[in-house]
Amino acid sequence: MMEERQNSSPLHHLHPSTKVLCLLLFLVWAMVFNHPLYHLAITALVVIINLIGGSFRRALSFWKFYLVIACAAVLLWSLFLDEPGPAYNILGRHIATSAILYGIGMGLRLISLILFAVVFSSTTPVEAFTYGLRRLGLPYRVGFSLSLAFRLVPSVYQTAKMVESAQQARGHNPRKGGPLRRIFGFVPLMIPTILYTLRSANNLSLALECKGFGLKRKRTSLARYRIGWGDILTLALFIVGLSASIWLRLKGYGAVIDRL
Amino acid sequence: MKPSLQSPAVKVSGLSFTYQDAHTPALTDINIQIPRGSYTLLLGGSSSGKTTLLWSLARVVPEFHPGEIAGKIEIMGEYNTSRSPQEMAPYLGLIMQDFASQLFSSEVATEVAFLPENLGLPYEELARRVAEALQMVGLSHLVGRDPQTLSGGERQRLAIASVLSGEAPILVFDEAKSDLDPAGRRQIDELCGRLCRGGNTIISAEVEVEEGAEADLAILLSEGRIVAKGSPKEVFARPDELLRCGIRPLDVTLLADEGDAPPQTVEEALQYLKERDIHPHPKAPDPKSAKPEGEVIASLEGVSFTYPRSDAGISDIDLSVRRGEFIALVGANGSGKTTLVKQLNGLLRPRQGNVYVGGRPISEYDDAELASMVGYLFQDPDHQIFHEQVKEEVGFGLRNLKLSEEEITSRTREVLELMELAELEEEDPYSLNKGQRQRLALASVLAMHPSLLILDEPTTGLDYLEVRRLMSAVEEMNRRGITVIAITHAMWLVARYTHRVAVMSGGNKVFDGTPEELFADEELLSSHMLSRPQIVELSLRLGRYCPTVEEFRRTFTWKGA
Repeated sequence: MMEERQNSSPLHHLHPSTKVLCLLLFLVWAMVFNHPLYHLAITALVVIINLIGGSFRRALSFWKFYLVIACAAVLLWSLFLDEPGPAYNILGRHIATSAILYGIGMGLRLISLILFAVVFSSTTPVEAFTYGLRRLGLPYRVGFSLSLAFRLVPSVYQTAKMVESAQQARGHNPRKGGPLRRIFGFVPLMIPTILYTLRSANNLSLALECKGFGLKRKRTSLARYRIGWGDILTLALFIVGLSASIWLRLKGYGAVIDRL
Repeated sequence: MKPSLQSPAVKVSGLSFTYQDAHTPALTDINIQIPRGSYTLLLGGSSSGKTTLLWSLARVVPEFHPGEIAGKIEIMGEYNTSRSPQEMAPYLGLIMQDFASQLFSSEVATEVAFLPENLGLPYEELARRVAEALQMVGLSHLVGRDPQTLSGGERQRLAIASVLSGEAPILVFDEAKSDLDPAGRRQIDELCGRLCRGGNTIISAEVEVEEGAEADLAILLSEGRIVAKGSPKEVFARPDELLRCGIRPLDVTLLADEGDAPPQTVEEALQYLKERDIHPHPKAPDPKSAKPEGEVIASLEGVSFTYPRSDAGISDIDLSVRRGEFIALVGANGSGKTTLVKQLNGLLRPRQGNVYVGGRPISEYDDAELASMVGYLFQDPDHQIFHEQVKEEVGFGLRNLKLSEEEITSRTREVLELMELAELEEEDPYSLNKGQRQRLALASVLAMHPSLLILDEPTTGLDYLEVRRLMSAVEEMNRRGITVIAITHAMWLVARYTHRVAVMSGGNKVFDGTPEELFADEELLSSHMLSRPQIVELSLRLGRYCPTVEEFRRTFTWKGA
């Protein structure tokens, strides 16, 4: 029954525990380097993973967000990281080349993390995520609550859109005026959205109780997952990749600023 | 469905319940017995105690919503007092009105499997239950779909399947059909019939009587007390009592003389009236309502719209709206009604075609200007309410129009009086009931003095008294010259209030005419699962068109009338 999923890719068929472990390994992997070229390689790897997982178009739809992150990272690290060595003098301010490179690296690190989150969420249903967490030893209630939080994000977004339309129909435009006016302009959107979400959350918890949530200590599952060669190969690739990266970093490669 | 001789499915003795912090009880001295395998209709208006009674069976009160409870409840021969709502799940399935918040899985199959998984059943049993539940609601073909991508009717059926998979012998529906179109309602009714025949006990809380004639037992609640109990025929024969409790009685029951057993079907009414020598009144007025012929204030020319990554939308729609018209938009869930009206206030912009308001393309208006011309009332008032006082909520739109404080105060007072909310102007909007909040939302839109008012299923979830109060205010504004477009599934509203009706199907406008023309077209009605209100059906059978009981009484005369 569970095999009849839409959008099946090789990543969809991996065991949920494999995917959760890969997520954890990638979180470490993304922290190993700070050189933009090494991060570019990692970002390219995540792009390939997105292509395999069939989530590349979805990942690409956030391109404006990536641009903002990249610009903000370069700007912030360039301005606030005071490093010795070659530098530019821009508007009387000393801006180190290494700080600029470090900023680019940080921007790529954030982008690769988002790209990984996109492929993970696209190929892992919330139930599989809960299952994966449970198999790794997390209590079911904790895992379920965590995965539910992810699931509710689109629902809160839908509510916010509906509220925005309802206030727009009364002539309200929060994107008009100066910064202070804009901030206060979001109050008519936030209050109904928060209250509506709280009400829905209350109804949801009632529905969960009435469906016997937490009734038995041993809960069964319709979903059946088996560890296959794909899982072993994927985990091996991640472990080898991460180990190699740590070895390279310990040998002095992959860092613009060694102490960071 | 005849009750069996076993112990009743539900036995409630002397049940009273008061919510924590409430001053008045929600239920008082409830005594009922519901036989196994029977279908019980629980009727009552807003705050009548229907939901609290159903929750008490499922132990939602006092376990989830605490309060003081007295009396005894037996479910399948056992007291439920020591049980939690989770422990009640194998015995009693609860399907709530807000079905969207009952769905939380990413796949249809896992949604349905959730309840039996919690019961710790083996895989083979889980697979069987999921397959059977989906087959019963006709969703087997959607097993791998994300529930969020289903239509409203499909999601409602999925919510039912997600409870059916628990195979509880008692199933409780709490106004679970209120968001559905007539076709969706009929599917749920057929499903309830099948479940009953299969041995399930069904308890269904409703604010309408029209679909409850098949029930074995009807219980009428008001202010937490049972005011009538018996077969539907016995309870429906008390139209005055139903009206007092916020339930719209069957039209034809209002035609009987005092002391007579009222007819309940059109056939019975025909026989009853023929026996009393019914004939058209000699001075009967022409029942055709005068159609306003004012200037065109809004129009759509060849408008098409599709949602991103979806086939849903509208296609090549032409519509001219004249000043003073009251137009109904009807059609199945997902037929494009809301998409169509959202073009008129700029919430959606057409991919193709033109939209004009007040003779100008809507692109020439800014948000505030357009909002002052086209008012839009959303289905759920809680999508817009955020102020701490009723009068401040009404003033919100007016401040966006940058009116003077004097003007804001004057308009606020005017609309609050019209909506019978003047005495509550200092109250917190969230302390009002659903009907009052809906009227407040309407007041805040009307205060902007729009020339066109759009109502998106404004009566969903309201009882009959609240619906009449809301619609009377809308009717009054229409009489004063405001044009109204209302999306609705309630055909009696179409007959009673509107001059014109458009039928939407699959994103196309398939009919545009008067209600009389629509109700005369049997083929169109049946192909779009629309039905005539009882009084319209009866009057047409007698050769005239009467949209209301009052009109019927003006048109016909009979002995004792």
